[in-house]
Order: sequence, then structure tokens, then C-alpha cells
Amino acid sequence: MARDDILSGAVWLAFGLFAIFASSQLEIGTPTAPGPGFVPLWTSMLLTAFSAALLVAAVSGRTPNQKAVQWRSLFHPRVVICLATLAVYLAVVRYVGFFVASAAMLYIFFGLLEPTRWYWRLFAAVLGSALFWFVFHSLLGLDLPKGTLFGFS
Amino acid sequence: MEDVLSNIYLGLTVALQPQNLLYALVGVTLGTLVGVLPGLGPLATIALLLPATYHVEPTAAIILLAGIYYGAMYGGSTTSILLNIAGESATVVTCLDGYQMARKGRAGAALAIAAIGSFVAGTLAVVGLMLLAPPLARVALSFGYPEYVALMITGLVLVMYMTSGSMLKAFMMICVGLLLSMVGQDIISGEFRFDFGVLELTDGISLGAMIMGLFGVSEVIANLTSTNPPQVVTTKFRDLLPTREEWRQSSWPMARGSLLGFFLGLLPGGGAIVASFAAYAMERQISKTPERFGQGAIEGVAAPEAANNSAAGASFIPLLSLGIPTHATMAVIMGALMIHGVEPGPLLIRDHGDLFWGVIVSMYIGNVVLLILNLPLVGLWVQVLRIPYRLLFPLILLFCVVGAYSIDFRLFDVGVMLAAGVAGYLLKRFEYEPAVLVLAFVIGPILERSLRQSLLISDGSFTIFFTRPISATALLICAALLISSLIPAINQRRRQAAAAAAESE
Repeated sequence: MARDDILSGAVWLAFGLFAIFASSQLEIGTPTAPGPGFVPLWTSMLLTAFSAALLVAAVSGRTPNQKAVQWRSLFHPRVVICLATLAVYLAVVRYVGFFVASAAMLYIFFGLLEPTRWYWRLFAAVLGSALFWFVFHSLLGLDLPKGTLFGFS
Repeated sequence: MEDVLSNIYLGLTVALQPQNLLYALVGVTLGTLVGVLPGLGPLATIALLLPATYHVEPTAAIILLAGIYYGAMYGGSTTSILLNIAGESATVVTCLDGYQMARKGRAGAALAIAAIGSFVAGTLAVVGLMLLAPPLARVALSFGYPEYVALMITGLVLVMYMTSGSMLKAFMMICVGLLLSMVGQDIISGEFRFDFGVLELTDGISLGAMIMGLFGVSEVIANLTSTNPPQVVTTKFRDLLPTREEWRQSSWPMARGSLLGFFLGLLPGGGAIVASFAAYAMERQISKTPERFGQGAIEGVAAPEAANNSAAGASFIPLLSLGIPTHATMAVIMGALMIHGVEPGPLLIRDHGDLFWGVIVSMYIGNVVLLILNLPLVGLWVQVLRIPYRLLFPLILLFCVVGAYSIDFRLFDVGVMLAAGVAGYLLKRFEYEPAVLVLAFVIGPILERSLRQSLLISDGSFTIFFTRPISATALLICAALLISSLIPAINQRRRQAAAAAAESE
């Protein structure tokens, strides 16, 4: 059964190995004249060694954390919906602009924890987005993302 | 003495400027709000409000962020006493006796003692900060590159030492933080590193976006999985004045809690949280009637409330004089200083005296404001607890988006914040400490520059760090800390081996 530390140790080991590869592409230099790759290379080698130590300890059952990965709780439907909404928001905000994208995002979020009637959610979402737009754009003069489709933020 | 007075005068001229007064007021009010609301700690709030300080003077920014931190210590006690829910982790222990006092109709007295104890302790901490930080910084002014390397390593080891989890994982977080800090242009050769052809990465990873993601967004995501949202249970409180007997019972615990909190605040290891628990344990230990503790003993409110506030103030001393943050919130405030071009450490008091003394005097003012906010206006804060989380979290997330975007007006930073939010959520679930990563990220550039310069000076010899007294002492302390943290694990392993051997026999 997959355990927390085996999984995270393996991920960091891969990250460390990748960092070694990326650092080795830079000029390493010597201790007398260290180059831009000197500290990154040593740091990534240390990370790789620590990750390997964690992985070995986890596989041999010597780490305190012997829990199985709680996939269902880790990727709780609310977490997945929240992250997916934020990712879509990030992708579309440049096209539809701040006001529309934010209202759509708030509409989804307001119904995430408890079911609420759609018209209340819509009202709260539009009001929330308009309030943010007013405070940050109109009052504080912040240049919020403009949408290429509608031409306004 | 004359020096101190002229510095206080300098601080007064800075802190009493209308803009700085306003930021102190906003900071302590937000801090109280955050302290009152369960589930949103001062760390997350400071991270979320970081972008709001980008366009103001550095002094005003630090006054605001410091106000949030010590304001949260005051606000947290209100929730603990009235609702038996810790609004802030440093006030968990206040629930034990504070709520019992509230149930007996002494909520007013508990709130008053908590607020007055916090005020006394907060003021004591500011006096300590004013007297201790400048001489410490003067000593540190003689530091060269090797001493800086040792100091930075000490900072990393101290923060690692305070983490409750695995040392190995803390080491890994340091390496990851250092590697992330190296993205962008190399400060010595000018060469671009780890940008992978992405234009936005040539400037490096935005510290503000990363902090907001790691501590703010990740906390919101984690709260979404909670099956038990905080339930509001109200109780009544009558008058705000403690009786003469209650004053008598709480004055010494308040004094002892302030002193203990101050010394614990200087050390790494959780600052205000540890201080409040230690002060409570000490009072119960020396009490002639320990059985009253947990049943509504006023000493159980006075001591921890004084301790957490003096610890909060004291933790600014190592940060402002040596550049060493003793816990995660201080690491974020250190990041905020660096974003504003102010490097915390020995040079701060000399080069930015107005900032240092301005922040100190604003803390005095902030403590007075907090006393007013937390006693007569306590009813207002209780109303705040009625805002449901389902309405709060979408607005917090939208605020994060606007905050990250406003750093450099790039959607790329919003993406960085989102990625850091996911990373922070996963790191906490897999029992890694993101605070260590952030500290390594913040001090990474200084550490790398000092290390490379030291090696250039010593002609590539690492002995330079052990032949200079200050760096050798600092590294010895690091070694001692590392060894002392390994001893419990070694002992446990020995016991397990002995138990296994006995079983097999």
C-alpha cells in the first residue's frame, strides 16, 4: 500500500534529480571561483540525498508517518471544484475581463459549501464582483485585467 | 539614556504622522478581527495583506503588518473566553479557565484581565525591544561575509528546530526553498538560471505571490475539507470590572507570564503559542490551589494572555537586530521588509532608524488602541463571529487573486499563487513545514552571495567559517541544536529495539 512518505519522498527525489540536471547545465566553477551553478548543484545534490534517505526509511517502515495516502480526503470534491474553478478563471480572465470572470467564479464558490438558491447566488456573485471592481479599480485605481472580448475589466 | 530619548523622539515624529497612525489603527483592528475569527490566523492574514502594502512607505507597511500580529493576540482571547473556541492558536490555553469564568458570569472580568494583561505584557515587550535590539545590532555590525553565512545558517537551523515534524523533511524544505530562490538572474555573474525560456521567470519567483499561496490559499483549501465548521456558542457577560480579589489573584501571574513570555519569545520554537502553554503550566505548578485550574481560575487567564503578548513583541528582537526570524510569522514579516528593499539585520537600525523607532513607538500606540478596541467594543467583535464561512471564503479567494495580480499586474503571478496554494495544501497534508521553505527562499540570495564571497576571500577553503570566532560559535550552536533535536529520536529507536529484543526473547 502506498504510504505518504514513500509518495512524497519519490516526488522530491525526482525533483532533486531534475534540479541536478538543470544545475549541471550552468557554469559550476570551483570552490576558489564558484560559478552560478555551484550552490544550485550542491543544494540539489543535498535534496536528492535527503529524499533518498526519506524514501529508504519509509520503505523499510522506519518513519513515524506510516499512513496510507488519503486520496479521497486529499482530493475532496470541494477542493477539486475550487481548484478547477480557479484554473479556469485564470485561463479565461484575459478574454472576458475581471468583472465577468470574478462574478462567474463567485457564483460557483457561493454554492460550494451549502446549497443556495441560484438567484441568491447570482445576486451575491454580481454584487461581490462589482464591489471588488469598485473598490480596487475605481477607488484605488488598480488596473484590473481587461477582457479582449468585451474590452473592459 | 539621552540616545534612547532622542530615538523615542524620532520614533514619535514617525509614528504620529497621520498615515502611520492610520496604518497602526487599521493593523490592530484587522489583527483583532483575525484573532476573533477562528480558522484565519495572523500568518495567513499578513500573507494576504502583503500586496496591499506594496504601494505604501516601508515604515507604514511594517506598522500595519506588526499591528495585525500583536492585534491577533488580543482578539484571540475574546473568542476563547466567550465561545470556548480558540480564535488564534496562541490563545488555546485561555479557553480552559476563561470559558469557565464566562459560564459563571465572570466573562467581563476575564476579558478585562486578558486585555489588561496583554497591554502590560505588550508594553513590557516593546520596552525590551527598545533596550535590547540596538546593542545586539551594534555587535552584529562587525560581521563580514563568513559571519553572515553562519548567521543565515543559524536562522535556518533555528526555524528547523522549532518545527514539530521530521528533521529530514525540514532539511528537504530548506533545499527546495533555496533552489526556488535561485530562479532568475544570478546576482554575481548576471547569468539566467532555471528560467526554462519563460520570460516571467527571468525576474525570479514572486515572494508575495508565493507567500499568499502557501499560507493564504492553502488554508482556505484545507478549510473546505473540514466536516466540522466552527459553531458559534454565545454566552453572557455582565460587568467588565474585576473584583479586588480577582485583581490580587491575577497581578503576579500577569507579571510572571510577561517575563516568561518575553524570554521564550526571544527563542525559536513557536513563540507566543509555547509561551502561553508554559505560563499556564507554571502558574498551576506554583499555585497553592492547583485544583481551581480548569474550573475558572483567573490566574489561568492572566498568565497565558500576558505571556503570548510579550512573546509576540519579543520575537521582533532577533528579527530586527540579527535578521533571524524565530517563527513563521516573523519569516513572512522578514519577507515583507525585503520586498520593501529593507534588509532585516544589523544594518537595519543604523540605515533605517526612522523605520525601527517608528515601528516601536507605533507599537506603544497600538497597544493603547487595542485596550480600547478590546474592552468597550467587545460586543462588536462577537457579532463578527456570525458571518458564515461559506460567504467569507469566496471573498478571501477573490481578494488573493486581486492581491497577487496587483504585485506586478501580471496574471503569471496569480498562477504562481495558485500553484503555491496547491503546494502549500499538499505540503501540510504530507507533514512538511512550508514556513521553513519560505525562510530558505527569503534568505537564499543573501546566503548564496555571502557563501560565494567567503570562498573567494578564503581561496576556496571552508575553514574560514571555523577560524573566525563569531561564525565558529554560531556554527557550534547550530551543531548543538541539531544534535539535541536528534537525541529524542535516537532514544526512541533504542527503546523500540530493546522492546523488540525483549519480545523475541
